Amino acid sequence: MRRIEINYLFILSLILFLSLYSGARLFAQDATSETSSQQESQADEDDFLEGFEDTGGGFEDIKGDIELNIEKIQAESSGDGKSLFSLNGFVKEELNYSFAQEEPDFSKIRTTLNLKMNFRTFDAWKLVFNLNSFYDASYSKRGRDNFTPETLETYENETEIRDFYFEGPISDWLRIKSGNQVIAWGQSDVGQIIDMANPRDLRELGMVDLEDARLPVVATKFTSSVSSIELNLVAIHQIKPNKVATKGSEFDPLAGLRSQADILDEEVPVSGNENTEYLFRYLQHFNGGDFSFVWADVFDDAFYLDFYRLDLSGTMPKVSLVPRHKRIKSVGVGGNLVSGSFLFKGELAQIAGKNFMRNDQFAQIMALKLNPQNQQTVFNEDSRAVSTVSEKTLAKLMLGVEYSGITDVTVSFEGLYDQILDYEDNLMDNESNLMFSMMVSLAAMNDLFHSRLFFVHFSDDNGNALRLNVDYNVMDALNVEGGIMLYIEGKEDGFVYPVKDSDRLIASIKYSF
Amino acid sequence: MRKRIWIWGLVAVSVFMVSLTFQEKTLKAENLSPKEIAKRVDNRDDGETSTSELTMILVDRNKNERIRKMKSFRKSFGKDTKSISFFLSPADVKNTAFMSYEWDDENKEDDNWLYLPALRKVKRIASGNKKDSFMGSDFSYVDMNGPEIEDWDYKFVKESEKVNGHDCWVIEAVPKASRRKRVIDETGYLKRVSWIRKDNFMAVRGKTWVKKGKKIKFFEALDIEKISGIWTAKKLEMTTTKKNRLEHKTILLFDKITYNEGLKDDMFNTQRMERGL
Repeated sequence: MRRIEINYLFILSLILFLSLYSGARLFAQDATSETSSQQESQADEDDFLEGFEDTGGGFEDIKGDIELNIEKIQAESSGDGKSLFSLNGFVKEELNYSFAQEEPDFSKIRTTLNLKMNFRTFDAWKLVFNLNSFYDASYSKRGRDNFTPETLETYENETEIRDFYFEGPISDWLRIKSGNQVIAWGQSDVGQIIDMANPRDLRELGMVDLEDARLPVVATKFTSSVSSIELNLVAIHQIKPNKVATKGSEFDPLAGLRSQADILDEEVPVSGNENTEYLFRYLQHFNGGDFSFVWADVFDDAFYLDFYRLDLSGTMPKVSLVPRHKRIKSVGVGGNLVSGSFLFKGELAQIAGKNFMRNDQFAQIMALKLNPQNQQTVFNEDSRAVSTVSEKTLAKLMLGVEYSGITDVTVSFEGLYDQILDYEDNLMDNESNLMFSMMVSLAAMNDLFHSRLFFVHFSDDNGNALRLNVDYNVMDALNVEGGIMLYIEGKEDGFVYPVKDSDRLIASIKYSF
Repeated sequence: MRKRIWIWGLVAVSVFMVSLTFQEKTLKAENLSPKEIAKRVDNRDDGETSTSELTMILVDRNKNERIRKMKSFRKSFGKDTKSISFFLSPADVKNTAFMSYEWDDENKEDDNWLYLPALRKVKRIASGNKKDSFMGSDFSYVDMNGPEIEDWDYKFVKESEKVNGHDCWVIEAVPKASRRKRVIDETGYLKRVSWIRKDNFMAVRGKTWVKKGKKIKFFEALDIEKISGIWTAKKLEMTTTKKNRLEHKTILLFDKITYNEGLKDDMFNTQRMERGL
């Protein structure tokens, strides 16, 4: 309890500080300007230039002794961006220290290598290949025997192809991009409303950088642009689900359920013609904003737990569940509107055919067990003896605003709301959910220093998450970063409670080439 | 790095601050008022299309250097202008792209987009704060686009002063009293002094008093030459000082500048931002 209070106090103080700081800056600017406006109207220009300590020095005085070899700098900087082959990438070392655990220790000592190759032909076609590989030494340090095989397999090391696609013009009005790729649509930085093409990396709640959050899929995208209108037709050939935390890992979303049921391996639909996913987008830009309409016929990237087997022969019923993916249809709209320093954004979608977990499974099992007419003790999945899910229609809404009117500061808010339209009381989920996020970004020292505060609040006392990062550009392409990730628990059966002790200190160094 | 960038504004700056291509021989400079001179500087011809490569050198007070390189394209659509720029280096921002539609109609706000390759996403961005630093440089967005002529009162400081051998007017501009609060809020500037070359209406030097931090910025345009008939500075410097000490300095080097060589309209759409150069 004390920890909750401390965390809340910390966060509230931080937010209050930032709000006051920003507000004070804004107010100070206004107040000073107002004051100076009144005073200056009565004073001459020398008054408002007071304090500049301008000795009248000339241009020669301020040149200092800066000597630059301009020719050398121009020669050393990269080419014109049109070379036929380019190789780029980065090396990154990350440290996470889990200070809230019973035995605080490094929870991540990850070395990442990312390579990106770009091949270009003279007739505007290009081939892109991006490989990302990491190894996390923290598991060896903490003792590999202390972790489940699934945890080691998912978190200790990974090598994956992120991009591997070719792209080019089929005609003057039609382009194709085919291969492993990310298709990023929508306006939300947090929610997945009309951005339905790519699954997400959800292995570490709030810890995955935005650039790593979308998982590439093998797809073919056709694009046609006419004036301010862009049309996209996408066929996704690879069925890939969200990456979620595995059994026994720190962020395992099923940790609480595993003691009550046997959770089998996830069943992912076979990639092939019969399961091809389709998406369509109409995007129109106009002065001061844009509008998009998105239609999708895809598999739900999030799994549902389907009934697999029930054994009533023992004293305690044994139920087996299997994570599966449901085909869903989504239709949605999104848009932006700009007004001065404000950017307003919104998304709205209706998702049909989504499965939601039921809360009466135990009652169904007990009814079977206690039914005197029932002689059967083992039920397989064909029997559908227990209904674990109900198919429903979900509506999702995002409204957000970004403000960049304070010098070198950007503040953004997003509110995400979802509601099950044909709700029934036997569902485990709430009829509606609300989530707020806030992000404050600050650039300083001629862009040498950046900081970002990201805060998420889950309604209904489900908890909060906060991440604060500071980043310093040591030299071109070399950045060091420090930060903190805090999970503030709400109610005991809330979303954040299971990871309440996963708070981390974060440090990294990244060199790009 | 700020997210609203009209890199081609820099070329415009070099042209705006540095060039004017109307017929020099027809000018009767002696009869021009300071405000008319400012209008002539602002009312420039910078070509129907233009391309350039820009090297930006940022130098801090400890003489540490950071270098950015970009490739930029601009095209006029009637009185409107569309521009797009791509980062070439450093590696951590390579392929980042910015696009801007600047509308002649005062009732229309400029449209700006940013493409971040790490996110693979084109994002619309607000116009934001014009006082903000342009990509961490000593140039602000006001410097890039030029302040509104009508917002300022002008007077001669000197009607003749030589700068690098060229005769110049020295003109002071202060916000009009009736608009002072708004102008200072928008630009951050209390006073500007400009050295305008009489032979081509180029601002070759500038001194600006910045309200925030009580800093003074010194501007200088160098390596001036005619390219395709358009006066262009190939080197711009902006130095920020406080209490007569150097705080930070930015040098912009323009290379491979071309004018009126034709650019396709589809160079300026969000698809192009994603595709890159």
